[in-house]
Amino acid sequence: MSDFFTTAAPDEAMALALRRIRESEEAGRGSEMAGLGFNQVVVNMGPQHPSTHGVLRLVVTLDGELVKDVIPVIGYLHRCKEKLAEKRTYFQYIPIPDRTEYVAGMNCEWGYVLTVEKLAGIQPTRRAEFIRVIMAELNRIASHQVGVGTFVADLAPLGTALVFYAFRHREKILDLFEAASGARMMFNYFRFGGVRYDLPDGWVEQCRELMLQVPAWCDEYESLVNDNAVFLQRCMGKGVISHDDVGDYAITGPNARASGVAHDLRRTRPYSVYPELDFKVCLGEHGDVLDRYQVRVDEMRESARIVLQCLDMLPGGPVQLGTLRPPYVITPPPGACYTGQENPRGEYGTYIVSDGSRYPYRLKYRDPCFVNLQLFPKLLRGNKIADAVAISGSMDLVLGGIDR
Amino acid sequence: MLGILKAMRTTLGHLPQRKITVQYPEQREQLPERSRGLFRVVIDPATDDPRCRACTLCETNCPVQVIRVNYESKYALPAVNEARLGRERTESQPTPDLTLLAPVVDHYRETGTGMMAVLQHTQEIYGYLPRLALQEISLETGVSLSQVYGVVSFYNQFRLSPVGRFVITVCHGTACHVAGAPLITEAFSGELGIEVGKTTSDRLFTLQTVSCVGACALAPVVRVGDDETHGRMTPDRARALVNDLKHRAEVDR
Amino acid sequence: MSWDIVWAVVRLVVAIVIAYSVVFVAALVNILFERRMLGFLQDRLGPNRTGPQGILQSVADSFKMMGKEDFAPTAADKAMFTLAPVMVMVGAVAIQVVVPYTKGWTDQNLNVGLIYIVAITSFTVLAILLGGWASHNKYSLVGALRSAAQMISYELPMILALLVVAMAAGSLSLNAVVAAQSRYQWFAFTMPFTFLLFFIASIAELNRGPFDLPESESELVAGYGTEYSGMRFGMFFLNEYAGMTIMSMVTVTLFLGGWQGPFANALVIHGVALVPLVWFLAKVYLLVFALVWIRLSVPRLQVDQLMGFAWKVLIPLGLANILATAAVLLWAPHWKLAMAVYSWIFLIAFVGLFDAVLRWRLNRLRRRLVVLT
Repeated sequence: MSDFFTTAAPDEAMALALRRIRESEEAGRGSEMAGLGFNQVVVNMGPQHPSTHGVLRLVVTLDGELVKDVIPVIGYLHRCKEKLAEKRTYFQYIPIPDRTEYVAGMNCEWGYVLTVEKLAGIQPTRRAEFIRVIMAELNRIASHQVGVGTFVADLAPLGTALVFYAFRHREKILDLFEAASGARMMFNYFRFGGVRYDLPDGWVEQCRELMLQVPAWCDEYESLVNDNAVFLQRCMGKGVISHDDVGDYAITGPNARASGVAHDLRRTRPYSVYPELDFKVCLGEHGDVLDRYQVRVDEMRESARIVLQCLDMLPGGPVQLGTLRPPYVITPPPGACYTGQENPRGEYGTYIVSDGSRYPYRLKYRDPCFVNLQLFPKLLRGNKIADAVAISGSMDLVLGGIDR
Repeated sequence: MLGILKAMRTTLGHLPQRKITVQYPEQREQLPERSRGLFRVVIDPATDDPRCRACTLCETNCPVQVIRVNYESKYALPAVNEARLGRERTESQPTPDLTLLAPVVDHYRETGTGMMAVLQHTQEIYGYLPRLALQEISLETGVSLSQVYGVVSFYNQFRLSPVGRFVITVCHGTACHVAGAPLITEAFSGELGIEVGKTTSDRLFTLQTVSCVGACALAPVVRVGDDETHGRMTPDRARALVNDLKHRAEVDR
Repeated sequence: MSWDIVWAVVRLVVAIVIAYSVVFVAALVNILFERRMLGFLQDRLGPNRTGPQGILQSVADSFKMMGKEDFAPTAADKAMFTLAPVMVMVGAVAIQVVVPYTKGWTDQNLNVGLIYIVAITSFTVLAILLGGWASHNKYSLVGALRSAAQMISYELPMILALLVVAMAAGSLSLNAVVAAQSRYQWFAFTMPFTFLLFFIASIAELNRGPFDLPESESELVAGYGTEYSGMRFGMFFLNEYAGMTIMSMVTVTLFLGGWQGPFANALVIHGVALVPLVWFLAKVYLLVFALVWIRLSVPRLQVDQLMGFAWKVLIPLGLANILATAAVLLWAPHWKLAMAVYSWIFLIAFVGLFDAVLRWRLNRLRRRLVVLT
C-alpha cells in the first residue's frame, strides 16, 4: 500500500519524505552526486506544474537525477461529490458524475444512471441504449485524444504537433456532442430509462462521416510517434507494469491491457447492448510506456468501428420511457448496487446504497485514476526524473476523478 | 532518421491546409440549435408564453455586462405574471403622466446626481414611485430596472404603492408608546377601516407608524402629511381628527 | 588629423552598427517568423492582430520585456549578473566579420575564417556559464552546466565537419569556400553527409529544436535563465533567435553556396552586388524554416540521450568522414566525383540504418524486462 496524503495535511508529506531520507542516510546509503553537495533532495512537483495533469502534487525525493521516492498529495480538486449525493434526489444528481472524470463525461454519467436503473428496476428503451453506446464510444475517442495528446505534450512541449492535431480532431467530436446534447463537456444527457434528447436531423450522417475519418487521424498520430527515434528512445522499456502489479494494485483499462491482461469490462461483464457488437480488445505486449500509447490509439480505431456499427443498427422508437413526470422523483427500493463501467481510463464503478427514500443513502465511486495512482511510487522509483514525467503522462490521470 | 523524416513530412503536410482559426469577433461560428451557450428566451410549453418577465436581474448580475433587456414597447408594462401578482395590485396604479419626469431626468444627466436624487424627485412629483415611471427612469438613465428596484426597496422612504391624500403617521417612540400610542393607532384603524400601512379604498387616508418623531414633550404625537403635527392625542381626538379631515376633503373638492 | 583615421573610425562605427542591427533585426524577425510558422504548421494562424499580419508583435514583446521590473537576487554577484546577458550577444555579432553576405562585401577576407568561427561560437558557452553561476542558485548552476556541456559536446562534430569543408575548398577563408562552390557545385550536393552532420550539430549549438533541454519548462531542474527577468532575460531570448539566423548564415556560406545564384553581377553599388544578397537571405530563411519545422516534429532529447548521441554517434561518424574524405582526396582520380559518391552512400546508409539499429537495441532492452511473472 502506498502513502497518500490529502490537502488536509500537506506538509506531512514533506515531513515524511525528509524523515525517510534521514533514516536512509543513517542506514549508511550514500549518494552519487556528493561532490556537488547533492544528497537526497526533496523536491515538490507542485500542484501547478505543466506536467502533472491537473492539480496533483508529487513530493519527489531525488538522488541526483534518480527518483528515490514519490509521495502524491491529492485533494486540491475535492468537491464533495459523494456527500452531495446524500442531499439531492436521484434525478437532481445526474449532472454531477459528469464532473468527476470531466474528460469522459458521458461514460461517468452512464455509470451512475446504470446503477440507479439497476437499483430501481428501470429498463431503458432500445434506441436509447444504442445512442448511449454511441455517445460513450465517441467520448472514448475524445478522451484518448486528450490522453495521447497530453502525453506527447509532456515529452515535447510544443515540440510535436500531435497535441494540436489531436485536439483539433477532438473539436469535431465535441461539435457532435453539442448538436446532440447542448454542451461540449458537461452533458447532462442521460436520464433514467433513456436519454434527454433524440438525435437531431443529419446527426447520423455527420457522425458516420467523422468516424470514417478516424483511422486516418490515428494513422497521422502514429506517423508522428511510432517511428520517431526520439520517442522510441524515451518510451520503450520504461515504466513497465507487470502482471503481478496489475493484480495487486487493481489496475484496469488501457494501462492493464498494455501489459497483456485481457480485461475489458465490455467483454468480461458486458452491459447494455455490447454483447451484440463486434469489436476486439486491444492488447499490448510489454506494458511499457509505448505500449500504453499504442493501446489507446488502437482503441480509438475500435471505438470508431463500434460507432459505425451502432449507427447502422440504430432502431427507431422513443428515447425516453415517458413514465417520469415532474418533479422527477424516484424512490428505488432499499438495497445496494454496484456497477462497473468501462471508462477510457479503466473501471469506473458506482456503488449506491438506497434506503427507500428519495435521496440516496450513500454513493461511492470507484475511480480508475485513483486506483492507478497508487502504483506511482513503485513505478517511478529508480527512474530518472525525465522518465518519471513520461511515465506519469502515459498513465493518463484526470484529477477530477482522483479527488472527486 | 527515417522516422523523423516521416514525422517532418506529416507536419509539413499541414502547411497548405486551410487554417481553422475563426477570427472572432469579425467571424463567428454558428452554434447548434440545442447549444446551452446561447442566450434565448425560454417558451413555457404549457402556456406558450415566454417565461421571461423582464425583471432585468440577469442584466444587473452579468459579470461581463453583455445582456441588454429590451421590452417590447416602451410604454407598456412587461407581461404580468398573474399567478404571482394579484389583479388588484396590477390595476391599482393609475397611469402616471411621464412628461413630468423629463426635468428630473435632464437634471440627472446634467449634474449626475445619482439614482437617489432621481427617485426622491420622482416621489415628490407623484407621491409614490409608479411602476411605469421607474421603467421610464431605467430606460432614460440606462440603469437596469432591477438595479433601480434594488435602490428603491432598500430604503423605507420610497413608496411603491400610491398613498392617500392624507398620510396619518402615528408616533410609536418610547414616550409616545408609554403615553398610549397603540390605543390611538387602534382608534384610527377602527375609524378608517384599514390596517396599519394600508390605504383606504377611496384613496383619502393612509395609516402608518414610525419609531420617533422627536416631539416627545407632546406625546402621543400624530402627524398628518408633512405639515401638521397634533400633540397630546387621545382616541377620541383621533376619531375627531379623522372626521375633520374627511370634511376638509369634501370642502376641497 | 589624417582623414584616413577619421574615415577608418567612421567605417568601424558603421560596421558595428550594422552588425548589431543585423543581429537584433534578425532576432525580432525570427520571433515573429517562428510563431507564425508554428501556427501554420499546426493548422492555425499565428499572431496576426498586432499590426498588419502581426508585424508589430516582436516590437510589442520587446516593449513588454523592457517594461518589467529589473531586479537581481540579493545573493547574486551583481557585476557578473549584469555582464552575462551583455556578453551573450557577442558571439552572434562577431561572426559577421567573416560571413560574406554578398559578392564584394568583405574586404577583410580573414584567411583563417573557419577557425575564427569555431573560436567565436564558444563565447555563448562562456556567457551561459557566467549567467548560471551569477544567479547563485543551485538549480540554475546545474542547468547552465548542462547547457555548457551540451554546447561543447556538439562543437566537436561541427569542427569535424568544418575540417572536411576546409579540405574540399582548400582554404580556411570563407570567401574561398564560397568561391569553391561556383557553378552550383554546392557542398550540400557534393558532401551531403557532412552537411547533415554540421546541420545537426548546429541545431544543438543553438539550444534549439530537439536539443533544447536547457530551456525546458516541464523538466524539473530550472534552466540558467531562471533568475533573469525583463530585458536581461530578453537578451538571452533574443540571442537564441538571432543565433538561428547567424548560424544559418554560416551553414549557407559553407554548404549552400553562400551568395551564389543567377544574376550575380546585376546591381553593383560601390563594388557590392545587391542581387546575391537576395539569394543569400532566401537560403538563410529556408534554413530557418527548416529549424522551426524540425522543432515542431521532433520531441526533446533527454540529457543522457543528447550526450550519447553526440559522443557515441556524431563524433565517430565525423572522424570516419574525415578519414574517408582524406583518403578520397589523396588517392581517388576524380576527387570531386568520388567524394560525392562516397558521401551520398554514407548518407543513405546512415539515414537508413539508424532507425533499424535503434529499434533493435531498444527491443533487446524491452525483452529483458519480464512482464509475465
